[in-house]
Amino acid sequence: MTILVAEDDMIMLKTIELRLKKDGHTVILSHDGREAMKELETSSPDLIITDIMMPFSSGLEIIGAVKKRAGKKIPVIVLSAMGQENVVLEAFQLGADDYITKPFSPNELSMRVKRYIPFVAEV
Amino acid sequence: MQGLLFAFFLRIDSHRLMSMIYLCLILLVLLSISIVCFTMYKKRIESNKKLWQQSIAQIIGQAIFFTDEEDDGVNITYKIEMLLQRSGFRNYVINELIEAKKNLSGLSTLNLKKLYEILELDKDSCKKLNSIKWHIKAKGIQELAIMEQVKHVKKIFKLTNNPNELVRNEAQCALVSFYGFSGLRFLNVIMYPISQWQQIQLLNKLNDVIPNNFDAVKKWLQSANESVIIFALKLASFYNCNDVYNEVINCLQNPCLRVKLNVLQYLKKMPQEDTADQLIGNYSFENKRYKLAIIDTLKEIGSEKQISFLLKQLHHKDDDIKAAAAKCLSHLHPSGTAFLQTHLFADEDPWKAIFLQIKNERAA
Amino acid sequence: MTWQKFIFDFFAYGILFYSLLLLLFYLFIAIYSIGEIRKYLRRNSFTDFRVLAASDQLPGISVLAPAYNEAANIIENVRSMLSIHYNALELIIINDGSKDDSLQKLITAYDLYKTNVFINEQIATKKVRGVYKSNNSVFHKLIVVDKENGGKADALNVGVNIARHGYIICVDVDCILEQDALLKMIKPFLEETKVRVIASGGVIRIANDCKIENGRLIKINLPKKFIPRVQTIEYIRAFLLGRMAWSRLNGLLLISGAFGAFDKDIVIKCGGYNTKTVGEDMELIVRMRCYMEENKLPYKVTFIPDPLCWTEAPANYKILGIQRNRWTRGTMETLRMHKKLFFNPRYGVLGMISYPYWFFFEFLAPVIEFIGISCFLIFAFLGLVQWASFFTLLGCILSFGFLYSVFAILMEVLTYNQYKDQKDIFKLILTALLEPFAFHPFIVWAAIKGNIDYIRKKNKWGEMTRQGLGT
Repeated sequence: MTILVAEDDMIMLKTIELRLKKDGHTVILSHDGREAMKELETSSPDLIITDIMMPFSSGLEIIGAVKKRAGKKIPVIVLSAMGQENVVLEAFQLGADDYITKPFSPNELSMRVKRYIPFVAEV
Repeated sequence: MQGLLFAFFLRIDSHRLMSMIYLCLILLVLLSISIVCFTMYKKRIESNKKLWQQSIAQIIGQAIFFTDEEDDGVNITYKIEMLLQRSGFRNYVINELIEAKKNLSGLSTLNLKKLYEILELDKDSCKKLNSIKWHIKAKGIQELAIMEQVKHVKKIFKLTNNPNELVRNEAQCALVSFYGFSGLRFLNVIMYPISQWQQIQLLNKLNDVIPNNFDAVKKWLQSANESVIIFALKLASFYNCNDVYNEVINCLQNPCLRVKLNVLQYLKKMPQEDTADQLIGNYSFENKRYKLAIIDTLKEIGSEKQISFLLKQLHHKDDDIKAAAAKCLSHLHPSGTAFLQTHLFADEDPWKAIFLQIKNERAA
Repeated sequence: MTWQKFIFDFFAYGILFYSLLLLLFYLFIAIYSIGEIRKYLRRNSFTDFRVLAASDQLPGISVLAPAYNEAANIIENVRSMLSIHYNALELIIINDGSKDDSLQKLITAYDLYKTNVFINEQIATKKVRGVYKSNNSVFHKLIVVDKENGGKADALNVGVNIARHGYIICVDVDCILEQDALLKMIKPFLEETKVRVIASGGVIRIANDCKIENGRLIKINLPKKFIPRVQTIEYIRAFLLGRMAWSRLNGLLLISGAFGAFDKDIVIKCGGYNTKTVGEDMELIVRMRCYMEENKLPYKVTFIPDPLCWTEAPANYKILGIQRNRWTRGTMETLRMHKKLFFNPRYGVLGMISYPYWFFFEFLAPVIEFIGISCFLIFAFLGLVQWASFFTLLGCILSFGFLYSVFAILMEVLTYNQYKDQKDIFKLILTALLEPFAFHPFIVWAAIKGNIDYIRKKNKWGEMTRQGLGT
């Protein structure tokens, strides 16, 4: 599976990358919201994992942009420190498929990602 | 006419003025040199960081995923070994580890702690803890706390009453990180006020901690330190603990507005049968914000019994109180918003506008 | 002693004494600010604002943004403000009777509907035509108020009446805020335990020639044109040195109208913004301080040196002139309204230091400079000037001024270092060198014109046409 990860913390990005690569996924990295948006214009990943609080564009905007896009549906997993109910609700309302609050466990993330494999294979 | 005569009185002559110019020029040169030096220095740090980032991300990334089978999975290359001699690099590693630790949970955090200890970074943090400069000391405490170095707790506990606010705050946070709820025992002895900011930080750390008994909260609710009372009230509502109800009600007698407002926050969540009457009994306290908060609380916990009281408030001279009372009535009255239409002044301003808003809000 | 000599000595001594005092003040401000900036940076160096953004214990903030004919960029600006990291936020856009289609644009872009809201008019204002909220719950933080035109102060007062939260932050709608700006602004209010923080100011930085996309700052650049570049230095000097030193003294009189936070209770108790002055931002702070002093309530006005708010500065002399003219009139009006403070020991630092400083060195400085230059020209014409002494004196003043600017640049490099390229720093220093010849005389002239206009009672707001940020 090709996964786009948007996260501004270098270490977190690396951690997620290593964990997902271990599972055999291809990972595209972006360091901020703007980079992720640009990446989305050219490539078409099977899954997106995004932070909310990032420089330039918030993760919520990314969800909005992805869900408005025509063509193949890309599931989005939000990975954020914002655990407040209204933020979570907002993310789901915008069309997020899953929401993980930080601190998070990389193994849990890996399991959650796995659930989307059959879905992607179908498409 | 001697020209600039005043120069004589103030003993300013061209010579002195010239030396002032020279002084300024010398300072200028010095400042310019330091500007150049600092820009270069900052640039070097930036580029160093960029260089380091990759290798650190690699080490930490590896460390997070090592399991017991592959003992000591970190392979520290010679290059990194050399870098580790430099305090700048070590500091940078510590900061990155802390960032990672905050963002991760589960098994991986244990590995981060292990890495911190393998690299002997705890020694650096300890050195900071013993520094006499407050900001370095506070940083040291923070590092030890996040990396769960519980063995330093004695030293840190003493610092919870340190005259420097930042040191004190970090020490308090450290204790909560170490021991969760029971780490709050510093509240028994603290002599300084705890700022609202610090209370938020502490509560943040208590997020997933469940205490087993609330006797301590009872004690704090009677503390001589006002900010401790406020914090205890926040704890009580944070944990929904109803066995401190009586102590909380007693706090209504406290003259401090912030205490009272926090009591209301608690009562809103944990009301008992007599709560509404208690509040009305305390309504005479002259402060608009408090009055509004009481009416707002009644909206949540009141019953038809309070309607006559609220009807009186509907004619209070302050429009905000009128509006709050009307809103409350629309919740408590059996006929809801429809009741407002039957009110005698329903067609007169400001009631008309108030009622309209409530109708709108309730409809939405 | 002839009358000629008397007049000559009077001016010469007077101006000398005045200049010496001014230099001493500047020296004091420069040195005194260092400690405050250092303390601030140290305190906040390891506060994790992001973790706190996730807390639901933070107090609510209402952001008030008055808009007048801002249709060009209003959609982007609102979107950028809505994405600020703060949970308990309410963004109130006040359309001050714009003549363009700002309101219509907002209604379409954010799917707004008109709602009935009872406004408790604690501060009397012009009529509110309607309050709008969004059908789309994603924009639940947004409130748009449409009102009859009444000026910026009146628009802000409407915002204060509508705001639900206890803290208000007033911003210009075309300002670009950093995403953690509100967390940093609210911190001083929550940190203080002994006194009440009634207001907190933020730094304004100049966004000309910076790269902006979708109402967000992407890359910081030094302005290319001379006029905004001089203002960059001016702003660094004023904010990083001046305001920091004054906030340490607790004598801050001015929080820029473009970005400031206030305790709403006190604002309401003071009666809100004054609609009769063009300097409503300064006037409010002075009045709030008076209120606290008169009621013997311990208080503080703080200041945040972080670069959190970016705005476009006037790029030509015409608009700059109008802006400075307005500032001068605002200062004069405020000083006049509160003249009882002048050396009044009842008001402590406010009466004994802040007010007199503003009177003598902010309001009078250009006037005295103007008179000084005029006198000098007359003396020179009469052949009364010893040129050697004159040039040494001039050299002294110029080198001191330059020194002060360079010091400010050094502080900027040491603290926030926004212009990372060494070439940019060099350009800044060069600009500082040119400032007294190419920029300063114009500022003095604009201030003098402000004085004249004030006397003629031309109280109209100088209209500031902007070139528009980004695309």
